[in-house]
Amino acid sequence: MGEKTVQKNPVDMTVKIGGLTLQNPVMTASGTFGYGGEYAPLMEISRLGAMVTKTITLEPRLGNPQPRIWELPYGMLNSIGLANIGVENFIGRALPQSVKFGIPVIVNIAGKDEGDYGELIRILDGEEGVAAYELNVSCPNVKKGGLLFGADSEAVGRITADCRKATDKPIIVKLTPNVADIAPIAKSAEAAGADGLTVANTVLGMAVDIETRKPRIPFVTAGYSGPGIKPVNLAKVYQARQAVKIPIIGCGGIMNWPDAVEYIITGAAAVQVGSATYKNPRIAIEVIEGIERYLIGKGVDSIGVLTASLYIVH
Amino acid sequence: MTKQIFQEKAEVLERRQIAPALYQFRLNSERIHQYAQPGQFVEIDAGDKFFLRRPFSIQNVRWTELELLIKTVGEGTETLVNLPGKWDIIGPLGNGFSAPEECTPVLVGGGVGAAPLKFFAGRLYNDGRDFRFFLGARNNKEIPFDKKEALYKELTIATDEGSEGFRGTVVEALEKHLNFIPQPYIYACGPKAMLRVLRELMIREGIKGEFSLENRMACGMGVCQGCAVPVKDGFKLVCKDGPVFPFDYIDDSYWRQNG
Repeated sequence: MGEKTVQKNPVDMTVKIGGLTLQNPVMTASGTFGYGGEYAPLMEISRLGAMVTKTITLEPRLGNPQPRIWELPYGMLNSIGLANIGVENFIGRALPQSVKFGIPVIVNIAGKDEGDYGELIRILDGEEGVAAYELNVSCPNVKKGGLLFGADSEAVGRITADCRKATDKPIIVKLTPNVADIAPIAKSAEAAGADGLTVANTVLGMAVDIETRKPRIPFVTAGYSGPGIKPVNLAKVYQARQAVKIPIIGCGGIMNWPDAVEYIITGAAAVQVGSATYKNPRIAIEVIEGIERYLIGKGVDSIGVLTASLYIVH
Repeated sequence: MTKQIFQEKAEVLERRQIAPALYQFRLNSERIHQYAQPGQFVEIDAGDKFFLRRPFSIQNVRWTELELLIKTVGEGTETLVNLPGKWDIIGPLGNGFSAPEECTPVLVGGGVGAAPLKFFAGRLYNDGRDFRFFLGARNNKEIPFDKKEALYKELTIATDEGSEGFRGTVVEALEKHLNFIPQPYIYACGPKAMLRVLRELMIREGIKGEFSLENRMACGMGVCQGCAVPVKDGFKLVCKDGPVFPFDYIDDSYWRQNG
């Protein structure tokens, strides 16, 4: 499939996260877009603002037992367990494919221990094509790390600070929505040098087979994604926006462009489209086009004007 | 190399209910039919009510048409078989059956799992290969083939109550014929319980072959890692690495799991 020439946009869709400039605010969320090239037959990857890779860990991970997914009326549960090829294979096999599309590749990383994050960055930082990092401190489907880090503002601060020492590239911290108050965690990441926050990962969920009384997912709890979580994560974006100055990337249940615009109005500078891609592989492109039409229709010439433009009448 | 995968709106040319929960469909496809290989599958959007697509193996390709055999197993498939208008389909996905080498291909299908074997049988017939086909069904109504077609001359049918052909399971029928098949090589698709028994027979008799597996999946594209199955050296994805695997590459732990 031929790459499209980038045309001059009638509105300024560019977004800055740290030193990174995105051609538009729409990315594909980690875990829903593989390592980068998988969806190339079905959509124009080069038109995305950025892609975020599947979470990479120091060692390859096999992931959790079956079944790993369960469909729900308003989304799905997943319990993949960070199955991935490991950083060495990622650099050797996947990254050279991901960079071919000419858009920023944001590498999502996770560790079992706090020190793993910085170590992963030290391994990745010299590699061509790594535009930024997203720290996954919020995976609900692993026994070590993941959510345990993400719910602890001090741990998030330590991990972010350690990563900050390891790179000059932008660091985005992907937070969990599974906390009573996201503000202290967001502040801790910002204070430790994060350039942006992804708000947020999946919501902890579960489902039970009432015939067998077994949980649908052997790990029992799982990550809930899909339109059912949009109101939850939207509220987290609202709260995080009031707590920090750094750009927020809204994520959770975006099914169409109005969902994305809601996140942007609420406080997001950019958005990530996640498991909606499974049903409609072109969803991210449709979101880009929809946001652009919306801005033109409202007579707004820049996406930045829309960010955090929430109009509250008290 | 980029794989040839397409998303298209397919017109439903025929919808025929052949048994209480079994439907025969013919779809018009623009490009998927050109690239589809026996054993590959498509993912179909079951409408606004459902978050995920549903995977179905390609039962056959005729001219520009795809044939699908759809068994309704829940709300999603029940909605799909009645979905009006064109269907949104993605395919062809996964890797199909390998081309047979020096052997007698023996096709073993159970229930709706027989679907991709119809496609494969047609390919073998056109290639002038001598092959056998064992088909297990609940009863004579659930046999989705026109048995009068020449390619089915070597078809052995097994039904649970003996309403047609052999009375018993398809694996029992195969076992009875096995001694008369030179250098058998098995291509199987069907319920896990069938494959489990077939596998034991193959190990006992020292027969090689490949199984098409099924699993719950979300993306169908090798992205979400939802459909991983244990193999001898880790996990493989049913959607991208399979659905067809050498039967002895699938790890023993897979057969111990229910289903």
